[in-house]
Amino acid sequence: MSRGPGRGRVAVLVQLAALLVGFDCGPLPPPPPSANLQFSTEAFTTTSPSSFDIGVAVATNRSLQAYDVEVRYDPARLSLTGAQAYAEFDDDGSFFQSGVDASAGTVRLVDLLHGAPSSEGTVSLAILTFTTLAPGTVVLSVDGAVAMPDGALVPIALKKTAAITIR
Amino acid sequence: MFLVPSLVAAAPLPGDLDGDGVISSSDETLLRGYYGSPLGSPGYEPAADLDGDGQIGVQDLARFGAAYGDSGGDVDETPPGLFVTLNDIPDDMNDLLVAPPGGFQITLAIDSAGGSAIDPSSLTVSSSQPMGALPAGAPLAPLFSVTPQRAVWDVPPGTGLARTTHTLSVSVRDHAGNQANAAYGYAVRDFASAPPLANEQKIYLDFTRNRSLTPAIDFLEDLRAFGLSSASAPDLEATVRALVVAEILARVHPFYGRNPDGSPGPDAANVRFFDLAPAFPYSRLCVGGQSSSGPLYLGATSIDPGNSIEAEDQCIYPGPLYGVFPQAIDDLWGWTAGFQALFNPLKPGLGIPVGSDPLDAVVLDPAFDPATASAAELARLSLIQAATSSFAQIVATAIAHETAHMLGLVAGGPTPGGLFGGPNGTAAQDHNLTPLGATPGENYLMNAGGSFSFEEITGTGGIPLPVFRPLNWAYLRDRIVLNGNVWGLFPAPTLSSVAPSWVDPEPSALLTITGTGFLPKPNGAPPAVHLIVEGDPTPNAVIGVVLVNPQTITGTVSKYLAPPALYDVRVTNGDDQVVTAIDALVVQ
Repeated sequence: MSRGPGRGRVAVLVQLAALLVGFDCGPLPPPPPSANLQFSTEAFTTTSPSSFDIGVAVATNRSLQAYDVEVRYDPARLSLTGAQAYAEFDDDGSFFQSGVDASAGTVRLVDLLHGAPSSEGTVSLAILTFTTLAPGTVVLSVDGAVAMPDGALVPIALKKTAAITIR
Repeated sequence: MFLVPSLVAAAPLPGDLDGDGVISSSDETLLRGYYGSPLGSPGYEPAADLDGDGQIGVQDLARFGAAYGDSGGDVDETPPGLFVTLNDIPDDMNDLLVAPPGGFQITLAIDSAGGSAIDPSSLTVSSSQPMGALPAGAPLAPLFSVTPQRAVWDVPPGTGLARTTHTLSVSVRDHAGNQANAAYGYAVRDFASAPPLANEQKIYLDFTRNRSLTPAIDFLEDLRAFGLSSASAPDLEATVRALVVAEILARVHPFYGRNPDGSPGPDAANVRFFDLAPAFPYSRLCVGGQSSSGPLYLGATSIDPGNSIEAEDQCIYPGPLYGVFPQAIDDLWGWTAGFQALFNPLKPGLGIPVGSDPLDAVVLDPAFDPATASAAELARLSLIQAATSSFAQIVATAIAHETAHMLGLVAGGPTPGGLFGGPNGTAAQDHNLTPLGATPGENYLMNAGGSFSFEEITGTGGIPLPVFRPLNWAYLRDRIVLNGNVWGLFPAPTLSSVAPSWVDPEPSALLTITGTGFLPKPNGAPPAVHLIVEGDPTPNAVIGVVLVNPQTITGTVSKYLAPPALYDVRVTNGDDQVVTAIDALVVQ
């Protein structure tokens, strides 16, 4: 079958129309909610006996209203001597709930913001103060859940640890 | 009685736990007490479960935080719901219950009714009658285990409650200060003889019989019919039989509140199962084969009202008429997808029966280690385990059901004479009915056998396993008394005079007894009157008793029934309440 002179042009126009239709001129859909639980540092070295502070934070692409996290540590090498709600996620000077199991080496921290939620990005939740007890390497780990103002959980994509070397 | 709030429920702000119309720090204080509590736990409060997911957690905390400071909500003026009963027996069955003098539960259900949270510390309970050492009207709430939704007091055995009508007065408030009040009346009487399950009921499950008179033992025929074993592999068949029997025992005990090994759980009925004959007395139930009544009978036993016979042998009836008959499983549910998915891969003619696959000897070896197994071995093991577990569960459910018949469930007629069992001659005979005569919609163990779906009897497809309904469980725990003479909640009768106080019956003499509250029996018969000599347990009957009116009874003292003595005069009212006048009559 012979091809007429105008047929190729028509084909090009059709392809262009398809491209135009397929091109999304509106705003991009927001990325799915995601959060990482982490510490203020991933590794550092200290001596024994000494004490140090380490922050617990969440990096997220959503505004948060509440969190419930648990930090685990080695009770043979560390003793938790303090836990303070951090101003970025504290508007009343205290946790909603906190609990320490010194023998198991866990501290659970729960708090909420009253009214306006947090901003997106990296938000510090709490500062933990530890005293070192014995030399060695301790890995702090964190687990838990964070929730948006509508009560929906933000999936935790990553739980980063912190390695403390005690000399 | 269930108190339905009389006002149209307000619409408090979600999270306004104290019902003051504002989300504030006082609500946060309450929320802190509930945080982390799942549904069913003592700390769970529905008003604090803002997303209604059955868990008070960080999601609820976030919603609360976002709403913090909100105001303008309706002030909660709706009283909580409050339901008072015995032994968790529901509203449609608790109109007339008879408790023993001790050893039962007073149970309260509390509902925040969509309003503010319940204040468990506000609970008040009192009784119209003394409760053991506590006088009538004494505060009983400290004796209850209280949560926001439920309060329970286990009235101890031996409390010795008066055998009369008791009325409980209960109130509770929510944190908004709204108070609910309820009153509940019940009767207390003695068991006619001993409590039905006072002694441990030992049930010997006999898997060894050959009542079908075919070459093999009935239970082995069952295993072969479902592809769980093969006659050609006797060693494996013995292994599977032992596994299945052990699993049946482990699965039947929990129906009676026991751990799989038969040891009692926190609320256990006095029933234990054995696969070898225990020390006498015990009852025997044969398991295996097919019923002579037809292929659709998974089980049948004779009902023993009040469990008057502690040792029953259900295997001796010809037919076999009574027992548990696993071959009915195929006839009842063989057409269902659930059954076919489990059993068709093993059934003879459809799949590969256990014992016919070379892998079976490997995966059923006690030394088999799944950690080092091949995918094919794990798949075969999974197939066998799924089928044997379901088979064991169905048989265990049927055993639990048939055993309960042997223990007296489900006595026909309404409480307090019956347990709302179906009447004789109907399809629901000896099985659960609602007070309106329908089969309950809940998955109750004593519903009529034909009413169970495959999912209901196996506890699959999101449906929990069947359980005894609260009324049946109360019977099995000896927490209610079956007494058809109690036809209402009447005050205790009183006795003011016996006239004359001295008679010389030659051969008889008329007696007139006055007092209050004299009642006929449900069939219209008059109260019974007896003359009692101190220290002599044998009562002497007064004959020709006539209930003249609620204040007067007449009767005749016969010299042949009442020899000369000083007597107490005892009136047993038509509802089995008893009143005695001490040293009230001299017979010359």
